[in-house]
Amino acid sequence: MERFAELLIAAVLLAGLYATMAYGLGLIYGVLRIVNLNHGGMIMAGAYAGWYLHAALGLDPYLSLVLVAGAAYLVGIATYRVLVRRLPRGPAGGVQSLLLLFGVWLILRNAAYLLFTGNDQTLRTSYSTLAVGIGSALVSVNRIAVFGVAIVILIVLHLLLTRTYVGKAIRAVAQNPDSCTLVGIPVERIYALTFGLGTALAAAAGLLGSTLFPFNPGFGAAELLKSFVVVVLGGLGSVAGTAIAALILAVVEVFAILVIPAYLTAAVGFVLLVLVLVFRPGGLFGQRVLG
Amino acid sequence: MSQVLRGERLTKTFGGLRANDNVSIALEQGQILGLIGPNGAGKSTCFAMLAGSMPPTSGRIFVGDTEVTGLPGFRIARAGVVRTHQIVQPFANLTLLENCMVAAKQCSGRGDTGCRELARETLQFVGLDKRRHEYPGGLTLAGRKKLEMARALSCVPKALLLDEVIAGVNPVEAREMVALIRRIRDERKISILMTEHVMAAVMSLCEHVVVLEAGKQIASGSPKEVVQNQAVVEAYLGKKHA
Amino acid sequence: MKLQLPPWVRPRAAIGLLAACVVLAIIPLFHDDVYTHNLLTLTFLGIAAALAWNWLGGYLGQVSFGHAAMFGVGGFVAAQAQLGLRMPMLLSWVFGGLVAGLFSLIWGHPTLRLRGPYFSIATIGVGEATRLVCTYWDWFTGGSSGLSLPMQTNLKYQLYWYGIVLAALTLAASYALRRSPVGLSLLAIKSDVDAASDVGVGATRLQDLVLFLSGVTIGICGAFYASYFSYIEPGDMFGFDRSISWVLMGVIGGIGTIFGPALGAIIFVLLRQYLIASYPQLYLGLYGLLLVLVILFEPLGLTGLFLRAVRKARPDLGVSSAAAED
Repeated sequence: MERFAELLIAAVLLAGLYATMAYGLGLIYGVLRIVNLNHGGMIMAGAYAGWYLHAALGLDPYLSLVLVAGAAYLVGIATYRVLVRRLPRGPAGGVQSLLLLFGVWLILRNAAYLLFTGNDQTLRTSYSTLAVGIGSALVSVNRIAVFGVAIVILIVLHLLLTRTYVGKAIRAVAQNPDSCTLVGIPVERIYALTFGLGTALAAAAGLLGSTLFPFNPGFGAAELLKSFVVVVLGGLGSVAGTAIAALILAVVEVFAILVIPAYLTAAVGFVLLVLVLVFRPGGLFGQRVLG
Repeated sequence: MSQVLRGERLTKTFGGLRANDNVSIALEQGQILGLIGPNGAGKSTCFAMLAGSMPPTSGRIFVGDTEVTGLPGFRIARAGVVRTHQIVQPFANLTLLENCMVAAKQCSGRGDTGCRELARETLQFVGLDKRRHEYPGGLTLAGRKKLEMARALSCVPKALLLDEVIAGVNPVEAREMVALIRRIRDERKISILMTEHVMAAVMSLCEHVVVLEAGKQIASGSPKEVVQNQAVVEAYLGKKHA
Repeated sequence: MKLQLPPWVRPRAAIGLLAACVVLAIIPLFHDDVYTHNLLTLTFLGIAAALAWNWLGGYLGQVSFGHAAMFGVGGFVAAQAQLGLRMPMLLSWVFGGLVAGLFSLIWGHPTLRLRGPYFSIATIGVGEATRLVCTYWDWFTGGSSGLSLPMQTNLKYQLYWYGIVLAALTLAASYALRRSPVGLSLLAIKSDVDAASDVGVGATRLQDLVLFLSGVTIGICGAFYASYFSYIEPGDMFGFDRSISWVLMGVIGGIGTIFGPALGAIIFVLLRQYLIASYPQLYLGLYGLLLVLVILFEPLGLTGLFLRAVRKARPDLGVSSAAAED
C-alpha cells in the first residue's frame, strides 16, 4: 500500500513534465499540421543548456529556465522562418517536413557530441538530493519543483490560449488558416510564433528533465515518442486533455516497474503509441480543437 | 431490363447518427439515374456505399446478380462499378496517360499494349488525348474532372458513379460535361448514377431520379414528376413554400 | 536456350548489371588490399539494405525510421539457427529473412493504414520497442553481451562475392518493382491510396507485399552482417542510428528512384570510413545538413542533381519518367 502511494505520487509528478513536453509537440502539430521531429533535439538542447549554464556560471536551473526557454523561442522562430516556411503545406509536405526537421535534429545531436562528448551528464544542484516526506513516501524535492514549474507553465499556457488575443489567433489559425487571412490575422507570423512557442516548451521540458534524469546527446528520442503518445492519446485538445493523457502514460510507465525491469518501461510507451495510433487515432477524447 | 447495380434497404449509422435509413435504389441497364436531395440528406453516404468506399451497416448491394455487400472498394471496381470523386483525386505524380493506364491494368484484363491503347482511347473520348503526357497539375478543374472520367472509363465499367461532376465548373464547361455524360451512355453503353446539385443537368440528363432527405428516400420517378412532388419541394425549400 | 526477358526490361540495363557484377567479381584477382576488399563488401551490404528500405520509403512513400528492427531480427534468428540448429549459413540467412519479413507484417499490416507522419512515428516506436524487448530477451540475443558465431577462416573474405550477388539481386528487384506493371500501381498508391482502390488497385495487399519483401531483404542483410562480423549485439543491430542510416542513404541518394539509394549507400559507407578515423561523430551531423539541403533544394537528392546536369548537357534527351519519378 505504501509502495502504491509512492508510485502514484511519482507518476503524478512525472505527468507534469510529460504534459509540458507533449504540449509543445501538440501545439505545433495542431496549428501547423507539422510533426516536429526536432522536438527531441530541442529537449536535448534544453537539457544541455541548463546543465551548461549551471556548470559554467553556477546558474540555478529553475532560474535559467526563463533564459533557456526564451532562447529556444527565438531558435524556433528562426527555424520556422529559415527552413520550415519553404516547404509546401498540407499532406504533400508531410514527409518532407518530417525529414527536414529530422535533419535539424541530427545536426543538433552532432553539435552536442562535439561540444560536450557523448557521456552521460547530470545536473546536480545543492538541493538535488533533498527529499521530503509526503505521507509515508519520501519524495525528491526536485521532482516536486519540476511538477510545480510544469503546472505553472501549463496554467500560463491555458490562460494565454484562452484569454489573450494572440492565443485566440493561434486557435483560429489551427481551425481555419484561410479564414484567418480574411479577418486580418497575420497567419505567417502566428505560424512562426507557434513554432517558437512549441520549441520553447520542448527546451523547458528538457531543462526540467535534466534535473531528474541523466542525459546525453541521444536524449530526446524516447521523449519524442512519449510526447507523441500523450498528444495522440489526449487528442489535440485542451491542456486538460493533455494533462490527463500525460497522467495515464506516467501511471502506466511507473507501475510497469512492478513487473518489468526499469529500462524496459520506455518500451511500454512505444507499444502504447503504436496501439493508440492503430486503434484510436482520434485520441481517447477525440478532440481536434485547441484551447 | 436488368439491373446493373442495386442497393437493398441500405442503412448506415455513424454512432448515433443514421445517415441512411433503409434506402433502396436500383440502376437499370442503360439508364442515367440521378440521386438528389438537400444538403445533409445522405446522398454522399449512399453513393459511397454503392461504390464500395464504405460498407453499409445493414442492407445488401448487388452488381447484376452477384452480391458484393461489404467487399473492399477495389473489388467493386473490378466487378465493374467505378466512381469519380467530388473533390478530384488525380494521381498527381503520373501523366494523364499513366493515370488511365493504372485503371486499365487493374480492371480491363488487357496486356500492356492493350492497356495503353485503351488509356489513349478514353483520353481521346474526353478530349484530353493531346495532353496525355502532361501531369494533372497543369489542367483546369474541368480538365481534371474529365481526367477522372477517362480514368474511370479505362476500367471498362458496367456502371459509372459520378460524384457531383458538374458542380464547380463554368456554364460552358458544364454543357460539355452534360454532353459527355450522355455520350458515355449512348456510345459506350455504360449505365450512370450521378449525384448532383446542379438541377439543370439532372433535368436534362436523368431518366429517373431518386430523392433523399434526412437519410430516407422521399420520392422516386421521372425528373418532371419528382420536381412537382410536394415532399420534394418541402425538403428543398421548407414547408412555407410548398 | 533463349532467355526471354519481360517486355519492361531494357536489355542494356540487364547487360550493364551483369557486366558490373563480372567486373567487381574479378577485381580481387588483381590486388591484395584486404582493407578495400572488406570495405567493398560492406558497401554491397549497404546498397542492398538501402534499396530494400527504398521500396517502402520511396516507392510507397511510407518512410520508416525503424527498419533496424528487421535487420536485428534477421541477424539474430540466423545466428541462433546456425548456433542452435546447425543450419548452414545460406539457409540461415533465408530463414532469418523470412522471420524478419513475417515480423514486419505483424507490426506493419495495421500501421500501413496510417498516412505520412503517423506511420513514420509509429516506426520509431516499433524500432525502439523491438530493441528494448530483444535486449531483455537475452535467450534470443544474449542481452547486452550479444551473440558470437564460430569464426570461420576466410569467410569474411568470401562474403565479398556473396555481397555482389545480394546487391545485384536487390538492384534487379528494385528495377522490377519500378518498371513492371506493379510499379505504376505503387506510384498510384503513393499518390492517392483511396483513388487507387477506386480504380481497382488492391492497395492493402500490394503494400503488405512490398513491406514483406523489404523486411525479408533487410533481414537477410542482418544475417549477412552477423556472418561477416561473427559477433552481434542488440544495441548495435537494433539501433536507431542504424535505422537512420538507411533513411539518409535513401533520401540523399534519391528517394523513390531505382538507383539513388545505392548511390547514397556507396557515399555513406565511404564517407563514414573516411570520417570515422578523424571525426568519429561528425558524419551524422554532416548527413543531417545534407538531408536539410536535399529537402529544401533537390528532393531527388544526388540523383536529382545528376538528372539536372544531364538535362543541361543534353536538353534534347528525353529523360525516362520511370527513372525520375516523383
